[in-house]
Amino acid sequence: MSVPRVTFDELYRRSSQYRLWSYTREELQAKREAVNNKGCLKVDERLKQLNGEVSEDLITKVTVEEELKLISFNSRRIGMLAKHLNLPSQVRATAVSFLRKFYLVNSVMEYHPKLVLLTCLFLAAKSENSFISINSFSKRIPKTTPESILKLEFEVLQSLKFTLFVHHPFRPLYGFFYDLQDVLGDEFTIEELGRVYDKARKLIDEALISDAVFHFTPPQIALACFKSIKPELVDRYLEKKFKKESKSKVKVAEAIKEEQDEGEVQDQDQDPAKASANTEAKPKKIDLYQELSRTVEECTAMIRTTQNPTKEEATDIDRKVHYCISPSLVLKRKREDTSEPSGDDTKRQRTETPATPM
Amino acid sequence: MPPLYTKSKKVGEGTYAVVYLGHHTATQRPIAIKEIKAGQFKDGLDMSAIREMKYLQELRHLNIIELVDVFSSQEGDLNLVLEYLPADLEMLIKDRSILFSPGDIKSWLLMTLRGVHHCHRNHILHRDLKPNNLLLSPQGELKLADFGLARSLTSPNELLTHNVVTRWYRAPELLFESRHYTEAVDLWAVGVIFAELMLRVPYLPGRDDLDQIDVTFQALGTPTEENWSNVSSLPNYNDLKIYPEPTRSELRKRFIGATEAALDLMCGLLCLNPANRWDTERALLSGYFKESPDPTVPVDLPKLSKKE
Ligand SMILES: Nc1ncnc2c1ncn2[C@@H]1O[C@H](COP(=O)(O)OP(=O)(O)OP(=O)(O)O)[C@@H](O)[C@H]1O
Repeated sequence: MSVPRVTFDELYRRSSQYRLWSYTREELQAKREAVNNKGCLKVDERLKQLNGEVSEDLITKVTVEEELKLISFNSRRIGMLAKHLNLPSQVRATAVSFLRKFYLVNSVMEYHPKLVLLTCLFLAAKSENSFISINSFSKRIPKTTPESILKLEFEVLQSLKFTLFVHHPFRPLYGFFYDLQDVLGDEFTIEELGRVYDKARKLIDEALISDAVFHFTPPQIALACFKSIKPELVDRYLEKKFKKESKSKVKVAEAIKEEQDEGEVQDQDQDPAKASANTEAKPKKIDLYQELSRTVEECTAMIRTTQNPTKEEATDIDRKVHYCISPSLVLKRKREDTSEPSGDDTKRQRTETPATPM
Repeated sequence: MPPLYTKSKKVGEGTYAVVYLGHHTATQRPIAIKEIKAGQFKDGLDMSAIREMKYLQELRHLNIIELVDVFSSQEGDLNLVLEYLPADLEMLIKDRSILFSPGDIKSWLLMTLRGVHHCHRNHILHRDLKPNNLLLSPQGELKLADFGLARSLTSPNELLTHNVVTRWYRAPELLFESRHYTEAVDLWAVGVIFAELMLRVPYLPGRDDLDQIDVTFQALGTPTEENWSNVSSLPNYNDLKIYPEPTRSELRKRFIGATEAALDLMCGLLCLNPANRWDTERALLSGYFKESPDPTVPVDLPKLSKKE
């Protein structure tokens, strides 16, 4: 098992994850605002098609912030569903990635995440070699049909720009676990490192729901997960590996960078903005150790700020979205509200909350 | 708006797709359009199509077929736009009117290994290398194609299916139905292809899975605990005829004209024990590629005599 690269990584830069799905913070925010706008326009369009039958003030559009909360909530549900279906962590992680990418292109007001997440999970199982037939998949998830899941497969693929390969932090985390033993074996016991590793691995699930995945490389996220559990471990590690006492250490870091052989196509995408968003571009000129420490620190902070809405919050947003997608149902509710003010509403809420084992 | 691509004639059909010759409208560059029928499979998009798309999106290399674009037609069919590569190595091997020089063979092997090397450094196994999947551009460049069986190695403990690789190119660990194989399965296949380029006939043509085991070990010796520890505990290791490993002079007799360095490389690739089999780096740095003759430059490589 080779040591993961935290420095300039030529191979990673050629991955679709880097080329198409890595952004600066500003870019990411702009994308989400655009998507939210698109969603609002879609709702307006739906209302227009109803010829004023439903008045605009009966429908509440959701904000960028609310979209994010709902997506986070449903990302977590993927985790529970995957456990229920005995799917490996790789599938779960990929499904979460698919879902979050989908909503960088579409608004929750266009497609409800509780449906999209099922398609993402089914597609991720196929993409990660854990194929389950659509019939048994659907059978094990109440209130779904094979058609309802397959119907969105194409939309999901298209939104993913037909890129399915996702680099996750699991493998680098494992690689660092071994390198940590090598580098810090005299300062920390194997048992202790093992405990930290187990906790860090659990933390990856949180990291995958954070925006870290759009800004940092998987090895950086892996180190940030270690750092969140035991900061001094990562500090010592980076210090020992990269602190510039001698020139040779820098050489080691540069050597980590892969050489190009003749056959390779040059990186077409050398957007410097992206480069700075992801990882340091020129290890020669800057103090590598400080740069890496700063990057890992930023990544750690970002993982800490993962959205975790309460069920009530999610249900509330969920209901707004429900009427944004099907505005005419608001009339039905109004009629029912007047005839049967209390009881029915709680029942409706229950059916709106996604009907899967929580 | 005119369509980005035009489709002209159908050039082939695989298990999950129909392939058309087409052109990029703006540049008139010829392309192959692989149309995957959506809705034809009850489990949604077919696994082979998913794999092909997934891996080719990531692999950009001179010796790997280029996925130019992916688009969806009005009818909801998925289309993979690939560079158009009208010939493959199998056609050349079978065309008895063409003579291969040692430099030609070296050139094809070099291009194959470079493509495989790029897959492996991305932790991607091709798992179906054979002459028929090594396509040739009009300029003579060789490119790995058909990633419908490829997969990435994500964790070292994953169980893999042994039912991969077309029979004649299947490594011993696959014949024994091991579920923990590695990149080495691809290198075995390259070794068999190397032998086939020299012999001009398939090197290990088993008639069925059982015969494949016999043919393979008759040619290369039966693995034992001595050269491969724990081999006897693999699922399908039983009732084996024990053949001795071929001597160097037997190999020289079989591969007339092969240099010592060529035989070293072939034996390194066809090493029974996957743990000792050469990897792409070792193969690319082998003496065979350093000694003369130089590999033929792609444009000067033999082309099919009759136009297809
Ligand atoms: N890039 C290409 N350029 C030119 N022709 C191609 C190209 N790709 C495929 N073809 C032609 O189309 C045929 C079908 O190709 P496809 O890859 O779909 O299936 P296959 O590999 O032959 O079979 P299977 O799907 O069973 O693996 C090929 O045999 C070949 O003749």
